[in-house]
Amino acid sequence: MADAANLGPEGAFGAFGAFGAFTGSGAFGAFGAFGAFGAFGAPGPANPPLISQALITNHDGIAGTWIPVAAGAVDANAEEDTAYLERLSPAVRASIYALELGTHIGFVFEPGADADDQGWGRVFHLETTLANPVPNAKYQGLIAMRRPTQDIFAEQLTLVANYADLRQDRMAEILAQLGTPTEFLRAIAYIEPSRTPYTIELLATAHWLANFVEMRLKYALGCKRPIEYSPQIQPMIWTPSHGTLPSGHATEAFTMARVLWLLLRANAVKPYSKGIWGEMLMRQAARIAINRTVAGVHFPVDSAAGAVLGLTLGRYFVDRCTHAAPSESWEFDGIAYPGDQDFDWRSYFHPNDPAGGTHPEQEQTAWATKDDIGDADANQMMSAPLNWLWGKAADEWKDLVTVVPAIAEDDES
Amino acid sequence: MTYDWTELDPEKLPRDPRTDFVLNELERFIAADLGLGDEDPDSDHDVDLLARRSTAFDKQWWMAVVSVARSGDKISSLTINELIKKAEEYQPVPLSDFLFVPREYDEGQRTSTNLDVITIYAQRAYLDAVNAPDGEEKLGIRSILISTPLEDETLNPGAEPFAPPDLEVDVNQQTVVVAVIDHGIAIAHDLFRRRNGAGELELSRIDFFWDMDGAPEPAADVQSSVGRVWTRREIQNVLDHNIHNGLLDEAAVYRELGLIDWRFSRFKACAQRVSHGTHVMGLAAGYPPDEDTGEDRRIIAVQLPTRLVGNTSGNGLKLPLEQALRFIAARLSKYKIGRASHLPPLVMNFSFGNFMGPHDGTGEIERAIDKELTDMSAATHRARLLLLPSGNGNLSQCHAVINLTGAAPRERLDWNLQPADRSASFLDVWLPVLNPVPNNAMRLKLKGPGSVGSITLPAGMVPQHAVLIDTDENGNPFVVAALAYRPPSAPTFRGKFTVMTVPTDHPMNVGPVAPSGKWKLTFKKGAAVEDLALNVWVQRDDTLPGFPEFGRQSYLSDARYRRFGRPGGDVVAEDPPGHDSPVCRAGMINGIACGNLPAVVAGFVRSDGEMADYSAGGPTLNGLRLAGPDASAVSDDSVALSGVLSAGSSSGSRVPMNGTSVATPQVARWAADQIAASPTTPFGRAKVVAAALNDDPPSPRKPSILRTGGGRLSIESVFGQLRWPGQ
Repeated sequence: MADAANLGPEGAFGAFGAFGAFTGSGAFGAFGAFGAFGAFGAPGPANPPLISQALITNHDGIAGTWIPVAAGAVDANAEEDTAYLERLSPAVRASIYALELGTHIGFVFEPGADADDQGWGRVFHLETTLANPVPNAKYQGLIAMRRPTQDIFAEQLTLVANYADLRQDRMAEILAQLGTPTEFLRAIAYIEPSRTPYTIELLATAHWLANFVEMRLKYALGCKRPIEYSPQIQPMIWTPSHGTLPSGHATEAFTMARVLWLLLRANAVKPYSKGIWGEMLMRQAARIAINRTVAGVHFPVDSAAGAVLGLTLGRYFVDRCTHAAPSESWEFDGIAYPGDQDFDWRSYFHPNDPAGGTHPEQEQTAWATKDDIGDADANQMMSAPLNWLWGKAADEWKDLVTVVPAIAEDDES
Repeated sequence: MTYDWTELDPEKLPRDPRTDFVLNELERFIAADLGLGDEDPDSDHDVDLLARRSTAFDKQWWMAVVSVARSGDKISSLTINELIKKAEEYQPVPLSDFLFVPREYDEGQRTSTNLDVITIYAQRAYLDAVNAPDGEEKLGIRSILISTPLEDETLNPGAEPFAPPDLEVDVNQQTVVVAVIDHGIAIAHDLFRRRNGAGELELSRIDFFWDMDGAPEPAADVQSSVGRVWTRREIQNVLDHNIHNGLLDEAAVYRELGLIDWRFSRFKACAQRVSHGTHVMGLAAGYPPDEDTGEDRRIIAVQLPTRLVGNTSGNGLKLPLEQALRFIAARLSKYKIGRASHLPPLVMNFSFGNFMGPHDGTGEIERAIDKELTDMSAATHRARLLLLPSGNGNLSQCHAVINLTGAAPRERLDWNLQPADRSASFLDVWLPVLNPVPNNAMRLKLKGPGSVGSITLPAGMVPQHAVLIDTDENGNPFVVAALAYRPPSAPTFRGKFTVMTVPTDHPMNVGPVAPSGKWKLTFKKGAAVEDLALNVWVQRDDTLPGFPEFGRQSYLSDARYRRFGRPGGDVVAEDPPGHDSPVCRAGMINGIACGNLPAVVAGFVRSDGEMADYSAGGPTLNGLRLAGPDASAVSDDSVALSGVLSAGSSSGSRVPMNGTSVATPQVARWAADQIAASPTTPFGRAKVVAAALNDDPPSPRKPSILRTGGGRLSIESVFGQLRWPGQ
């Protein structure tokens, strides 16, 4: 696994392969390819030489005389057809999703006014509208992030030192959470490879997006890790090579938690509109984030930045999947973060009870603020492959009761 | 590393050697442990560090349990106001700025001439003056116990007593108040909550929670000299706005209550999966929210200061007990059963213990417990029961009985100090009651490991004191160990040798540490007495479960002590017949559980009925408690399933924990049930013994009275039915 050598992005992508490992089916083993990035398009099942050798002699033995094929004997596939997606291996689809998502993300680093000033990392959604042959394009703000000052990191370091008390208690979780958050989300939602293959694929895709964005931000902001501030932190795991803020684990866990809750509610199946489902998913994401502070590799402010980023990306991802125009842009201003502030997920999201008529909301604080995207183009191009994946995953959560459930109130978040 | 034993001038000896050692010789370790002098992150760490530490150390406030001197008539005591006056009038400079009396003591208590043991908060200048040879005469304090400084932020000093809070608590005829004094109490656990009208678990069964680690809050319903008291109203306010989607946001609750705040380095027991106080209180008074009994079990919880609990090199755990008991008594006095004039019954649990003390009921804390229980009972005819564990030190090798006779006037014993022990180590040698102790009754020779030479001090009526000095690389001298003898004094009337060493290790540069290894003790009887039986106890100083590594337990050894019956066999849990080693298992009972009135509980294994190997027993030196424990209860479900289940820190969780700490609160719970069934019947220690005798009639398989007391109580498992079917 990539994380064994501390080479993986969050050490996490290699763990997709684990889904193959625990079913033995091998189908999801292909997700392991994510881990190796270079291995996109890797063949699915292996080609054992013995079988290939046999197929060669077998061909010689039975193919007989060549008969040409007439032009009209076979019909062409439809082009740009989502039905085709179903025939593709998950790894191939993953490449398609990557382009659908990745080509619509823009990034700019806007330096601070002078050398001491913190710059802004700005992530954009690329709105495209159909024109031939080149679409019209416009960048809309998605999230902007500015790193905290050194004073704030120095003060945050005391919290990191104090959290070390929990290492014995949390060791098993911390090590298990080196892999994908799916392992912990699956303990809340009934995810299982045979039962919900597309949900796993959807979460993996959301994970990809989170990683794609967070790594660019981490690189731009270049924040030092706790281990670089003090020799007394002594993290209990490898400190990854990338920057500390935003926390990748927080970003990914909150992205996936938000996507998952929206997915669970897609078919208005009874229990999932209860706030407790969102409550538990967010508790889980926060636990994963905090465990990184316990381990000694993250500041609490990293988790806060990651939570804001992840919640934003989760909503954005579902918008992309459901053909909705992204309508919010968020800003995380690290220099407004109080130095002694611990990470509390409830400051960033209220898993209100949709079933009870209150909508879940992403919350604003002094350092995490929202802008509405007022001029979103309702006719912007939508992604059919992402929409196809969403539909497949949502179908896995349809209720199997004979009575049609009452339609729950619509909720947006 | 040049060691030198030096005898101190007998005219200038501190009255209590241990207090002096902690205040003055352990300064460099305690100051470093507490990070004193390091508060300013911009200062250069090493420059003037020792001076900065020393100045900061002087300003630390200590909780001290003291016994008050008698007044001129030798019978009545001085009053608290007189003690304050003496501090004000102290020459050459007044010491009143270095002392504050708990503001919980009201005017009546401050003018009482019937005092014995009280608690004070003081700084080093006052404590050193008290401990000086003329300290009793000049400051009116007869004896003193200290541990380690309290956190400044937890103190609420002032000269004026608090106005007693006018807080009546309405209860009913079936109510039994269960008070739990412990550490790491996750009070928001659902076993301590009940549902409101809307079905939310917003109601707390905790009437009062005194968090001695808390920050004083002027707006709080009840004021305290140290920490923060939360009333039920205040607790419920916190619960109320932290329930979301039917679940309590416990992280938010404990942050608001100040129990888990990661800005502070203090060990946060409730953040761990298993916390001692939560488990214990779950057993004593935890009821699922929908169980009716819970309605009638009201809780008063007292959480001890983390520093005192974590610092095992002193008397930490037991020091706050005097204030805790007074707090419980004061709160209880405001409970009202309808219009009736009597107060509800009370069961208290304190699941902590130590190894040291006279073991005859005359220690300060043992006296404070007995007096408080007596006072509480005098005010009412309802049950006032305190349960204490017999302790887990049975196999710790921390007790020895040295019998010196004419035929065998000499005995030897090794005291083993472990390497990497970051806490100080203490050993007491108690003479029998002899008043006076004849000169040349005995002599104790102490020889340290390696190149440490020896020192010999005699017992008699003259105090003796020698210190072991080591030098650092610059030739500066530092005391690393001491041997002291103090002649008998009231009320214990036993001469006592004390051996004290600084830690054997420290991660920072604090100067020389004590050498680890065997410290050899040689006891030699003189001709002045016939036979002499000495009792040796070693201070418990192991790191507590969950706490950061700190102390490592020192222990006694001698070749005649056999840990195992045969190679590869079980440990020997009781001194076998013909046991001829001075080191013994018998008598390892919890040092604070040797008073007259508390009920003391040992632990046994449910599956086989054997006493738990660690469960300590008697005898004690108290004629009213010769056997030691009063009864035993289950401390382990089976040999394989160690411990019993009770509350983990988080709501909904159950975790196993073992020790006599968990046997004790089960008896508290059982006693509360007995009392609830017959609230007007007095219920004390004797009832516990009687029930044990009844439940466990004599049989060949019944454990010895020294281990089990009256016997093994048949109490149904509280939370363990699923774990061990058939309980």
